[in-house]
Amino acid sequence: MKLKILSIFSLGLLLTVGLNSTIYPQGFPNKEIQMIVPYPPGGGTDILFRIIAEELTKMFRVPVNVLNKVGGSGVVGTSSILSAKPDGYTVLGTTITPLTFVPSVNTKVPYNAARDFYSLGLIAHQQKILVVKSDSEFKSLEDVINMAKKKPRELTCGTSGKGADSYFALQQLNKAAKVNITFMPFEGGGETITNLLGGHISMSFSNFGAVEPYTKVDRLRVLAVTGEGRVASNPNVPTFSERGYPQVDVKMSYLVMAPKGLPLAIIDAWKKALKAVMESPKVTSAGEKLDFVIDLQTDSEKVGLYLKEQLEKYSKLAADIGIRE
Amino acid sequence: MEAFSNLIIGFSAAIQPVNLFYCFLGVFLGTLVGVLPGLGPAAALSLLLPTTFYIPPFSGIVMLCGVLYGAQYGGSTTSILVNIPGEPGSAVTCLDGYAMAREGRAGPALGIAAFGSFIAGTISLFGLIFLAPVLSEAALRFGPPEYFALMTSGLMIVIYLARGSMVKAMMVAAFGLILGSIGIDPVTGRTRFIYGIVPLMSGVNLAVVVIGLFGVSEVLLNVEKRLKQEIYTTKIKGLLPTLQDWKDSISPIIRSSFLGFFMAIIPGVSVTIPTFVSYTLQKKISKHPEKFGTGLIEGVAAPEAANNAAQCGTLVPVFSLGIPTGATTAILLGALIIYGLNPGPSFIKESPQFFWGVIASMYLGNAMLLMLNLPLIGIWVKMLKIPYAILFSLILLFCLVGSYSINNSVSDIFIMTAFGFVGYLLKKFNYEQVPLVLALVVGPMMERALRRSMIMSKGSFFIFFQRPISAVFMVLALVMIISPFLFKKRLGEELISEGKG
Repeated sequence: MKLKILSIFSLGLLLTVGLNSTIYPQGFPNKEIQMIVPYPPGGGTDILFRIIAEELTKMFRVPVNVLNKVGGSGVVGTSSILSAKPDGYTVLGTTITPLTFVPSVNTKVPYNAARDFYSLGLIAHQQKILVVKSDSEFKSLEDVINMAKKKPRELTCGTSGKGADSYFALQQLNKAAKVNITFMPFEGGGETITNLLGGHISMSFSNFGAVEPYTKVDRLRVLAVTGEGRVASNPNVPTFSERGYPQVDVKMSYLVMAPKGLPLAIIDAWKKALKAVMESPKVTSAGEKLDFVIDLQTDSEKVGLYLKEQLEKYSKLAADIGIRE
Repeated sequence: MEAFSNLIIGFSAAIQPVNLFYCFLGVFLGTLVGVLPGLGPAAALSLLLPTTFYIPPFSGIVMLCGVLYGAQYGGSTTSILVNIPGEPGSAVTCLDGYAMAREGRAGPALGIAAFGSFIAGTISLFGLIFLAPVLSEAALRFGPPEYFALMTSGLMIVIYLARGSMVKAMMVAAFGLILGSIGIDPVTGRTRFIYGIVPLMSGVNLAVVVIGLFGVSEVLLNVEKRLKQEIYTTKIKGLLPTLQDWKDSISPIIRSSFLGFFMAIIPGVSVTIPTFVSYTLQKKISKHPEKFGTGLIEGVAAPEAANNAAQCGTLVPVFSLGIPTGATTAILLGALIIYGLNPGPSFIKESPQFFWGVIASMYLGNAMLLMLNLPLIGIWVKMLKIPYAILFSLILLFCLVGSYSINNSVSDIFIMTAFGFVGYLLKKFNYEQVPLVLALVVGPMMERALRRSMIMSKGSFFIFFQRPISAVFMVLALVMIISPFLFKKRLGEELISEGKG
């Protein structure tokens, strides 16, 4: 009896394996997959991709391992897939920063994202916010602009280094409002917030997830948010365009990229898996917690065009303010 | 006392069998991670992070914290036995720890490292209980000018107290600062000194340099003088610290515990810098500073106590402000966020059971570590009886694997090897390695702090003297440079002549 159950069970197992190979042709995947994340472990981006990798592991039934290759604002990890085999076993989980923001400042970056990579999917995005200390004199975006006009170069804004999303947000504001708020570079969100709380900088560009613990206890105040409309979780925060600065529209995007030249069947397998994973409750709830708006687009041509547009747009901005090299 | 009643609630959570199990698993894995060079706590935490999604949040955090302080326990083991720091935080331990091992006193060195860590863990636990919320607010007052002044004075103190020539120490420190500037310019975003080599964009990794500098160079030196092998095999004097060892170590342990804990509360300082400072301070106030580096037990006790206390100190801003102090605590914060807890200023009030439970578990974990590590000493010491030919091949192997595993990068292996030769040359020509390591640690931080300060002050250097905290540190640094010119003598002068002789 036991033997019978066992044989039925193993038959079922065989069947699922067989089934598996019909979903994912050519036996893909039949070994473990590496997802390179060009950011340090523990940050928001890393956590998001780790949760996605967990779900992909269930979907593909092979381990999907996250490999952190850190450095150079993400360029180090991103360029490492240039030399990877286009077989679907090495992919990149990244923000748009090393794909378009950094190359628009630094022309020596050894790739052109739209040309050299294949986009499996744009999976999520995140809006940026302008935040100040609660006990600061700035009650609104207008207060900041007025003060910046009165005292040029006096105000400082903490952002990540030149070419980061938050840096471009500040430059867009400087340009749109014709002010000169000095940018002060920090290594990451945590360090920026420490300095903001300590009163060493006047303001910062951040995101809702990062400041929520401090806005809740009234130590930080959010003045405005980028993007088309107000955010559902924080309906009281006005958008930059409502306040007359529609040019301030930096948006962080999150993508899964692969080396160019993937076989069609493997592309299909990946896109199917991504679609299922991004709808899974684990990923959606993580997205909420970490303040990512999940918004999957798997049309590679469209995403490629988006990358191209973004690169052109920010290259122009970088050239305008004289930091492109 | 509210803190105590809370702590009792915490212990009742930590003592649950399932939590005890995860605590043990954490400290056990941590010890392992500490012993293996290269595989640091940050890498280990990121590997473990996904697995904790399947266990209760509290158990998960207890385990991750266990890895964190367990690694500090284990990191000293290889420093003492084979001169490879398991973690950068144990680099200083190499100096006297390895010298002790060569004298056949590896047992007492390992013993005092374990006891020192335990005592430091206990002291900083009380620090966490009473001071966590207050201290983290004070740490916020450290802005860019304060950081720059703090780092500068730290570097100057280490140069001042270097063995041998102070000029040589300065040269080595300058070399470290230059190395620290490789990579991306923090303000302009330009790449510097990378010569088209993309992996260099992130700079040279500290752990990679340290492994080469201490581990590989030691192998090279020993290949040269292989006759001395009998030192290891013949005399192994005692396994535990003697009464005299205790007398020598107890006040350094207590002092370094306080120092490590308080320094680490400042975000960015992390674990490595306090070990340097505590070692140097110990040397400064010692009656026989010239003997440091020749196998003095205080030289092991001080940095080992400091790194454990510092590991606890780094948790203060994490739990009371939700601010990460370094790579490892960033991962811990990430885990808290995934669990749906909101680390931040209101965290301790909102989840007292969680916070106090983690604190209680840390105490239990420290006790477990002591029990785990003491019996192991006998086994570790026997490792030194392995014949040279095999031992050194193994050391090289660990150096290679260790340096690769940090960032999965082949170029790190080349960098590690290159620094093996650099370390060899430094030792050959009597240059100290310590200022190089410290300069590499603080260099990038110092540069960023300097340039941010310059942005704040619009280019005026007076900013460092206008703010009280930074003014104190700057004056201290200046005294260090100027005093040898005024008095034509500095501390440990005897040793300089000794070095020449």
